[in-house]
Amino acid sequence: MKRKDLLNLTLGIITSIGGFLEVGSMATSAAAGADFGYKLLWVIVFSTLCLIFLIEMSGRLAAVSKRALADAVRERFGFVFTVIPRLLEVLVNLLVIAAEIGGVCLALKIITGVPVAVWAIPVGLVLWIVVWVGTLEWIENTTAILGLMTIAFVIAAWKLHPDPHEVLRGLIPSRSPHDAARFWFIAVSIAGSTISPYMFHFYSSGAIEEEWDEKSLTSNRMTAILGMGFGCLMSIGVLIVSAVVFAPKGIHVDSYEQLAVVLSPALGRWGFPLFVGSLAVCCFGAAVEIALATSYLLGQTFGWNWSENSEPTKGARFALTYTAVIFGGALIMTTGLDPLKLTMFSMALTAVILPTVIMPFLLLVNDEHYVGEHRSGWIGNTVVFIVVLVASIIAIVAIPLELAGGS
Amino acid sequence: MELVRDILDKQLRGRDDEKLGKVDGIVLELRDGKPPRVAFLELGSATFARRIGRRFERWAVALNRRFHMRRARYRIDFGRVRDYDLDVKVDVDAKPSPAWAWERWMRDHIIKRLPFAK
Repeated sequence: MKRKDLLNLTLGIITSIGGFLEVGSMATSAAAGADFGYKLLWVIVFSTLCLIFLIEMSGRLAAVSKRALADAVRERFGFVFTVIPRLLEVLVNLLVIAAEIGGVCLALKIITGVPVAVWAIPVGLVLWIVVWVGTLEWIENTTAILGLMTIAFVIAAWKLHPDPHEVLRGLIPSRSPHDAARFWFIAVSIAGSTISPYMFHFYSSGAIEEEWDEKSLTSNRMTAILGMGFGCLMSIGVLIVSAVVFAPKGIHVDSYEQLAVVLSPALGRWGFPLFVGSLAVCCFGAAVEIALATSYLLGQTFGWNWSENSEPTKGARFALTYTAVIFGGALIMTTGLDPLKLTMFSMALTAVILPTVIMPFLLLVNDEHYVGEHRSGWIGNTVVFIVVLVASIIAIVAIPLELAGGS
Repeated sequence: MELVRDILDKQLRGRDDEKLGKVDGIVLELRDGKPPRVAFLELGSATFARRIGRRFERWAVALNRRFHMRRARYRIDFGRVRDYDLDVKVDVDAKPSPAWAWERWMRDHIIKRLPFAK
């Protein structure tokens, strides 16, 4: 491997690690740790395993077939089949971007005391300017490298000396010790926040924009395994820190403000700024990705010009889509909706719609017409199929129970 | 060539390699005593809306009329198809074509009026 390739690969992996944690993973892992100690660690691990397979698949599909995910799905399954999954995705993306914008606003609220609803539009405006004038590479690299700040959670988890036996036991699937409805609701929210459909659109479109080919398959695999694998450590870090700091005191995480002190016992006076910084940067980065992913998926469904690297006037519909999504999300946050509840709910909702996005995708990466000899192996197929189906079924049951429980 | 597999729902690209849209429909011409002939590729909001239902087609036509778009669907003579390997390439200029009507409208009425759009 040449030095330049190695540099690109390293950057790709760092980007994935830095981009892994967003408001969804942060909120769901923190809630899991506070309510159930280490008991939900296995859900993070299984979801990440599924994510690794799916990210590898979306890169492989793009590199070999030269088509991004939404492009290939429309071509293979036709317009009528495509409409409902894409519509659901756009709606869920709107909720998730609202939650991410809410995350940035909360970070600002924690520092300034000015309410979330007031910050929503200014944050939306800054977000829009970044996407409007930035190029894909610049946006990806900047947010991801700043996102490495989230390593603070892993360091904090290490410094808190969690009981290794308990942590290891958490990696083994288990049932809920109490409050089963809440347990499974958080479990599917973790799955939904980890296996986010927008990531596959973003990743496969990026692969097309960067003109990947079959030579890129090795680096694609390594980025998926190492990037997502290490990224998963950040989520595990959040869960452990929350389990050590909140669970023994019986504190349930009802708001992000409570979370602000989570790093302080381990990192002292650095804890607070690192938490606020991580929250703001991760949410901002994820919001950028969601806005672009929505433009990509609509552009590819309807056959518009789509490229983040060209000027807005060269892809007016593409640019207008992310503009609408960003300001739509910001408007939702001006209503004063509780960002934490919105996050948990939209993550669980993501789990519900997963099969509509993933199942056609799974067929494509096993279709010789698209991937030739590079079809998926049976292990990847089985893991993805089972995790996605189970997560969706549990989500359908758990969401009404959680709503009825009046969380 | 298999029409549905190789042509329908594929990406359409014009002469200038710009994206025109997707192949939303295929128009066949029925001829007396002879097999049907593929006459046109069709694209546009009315065409894809029709695939979901007639009511959606009417909505698409009304929406286009509301924004003074001349046509809610656009036909390309099948004889203009040059290649259909990865994308369907046709011998048509994308930018001035009716397929770009919405793109032009959004660019001129919204995007160009925003700051830093170049």
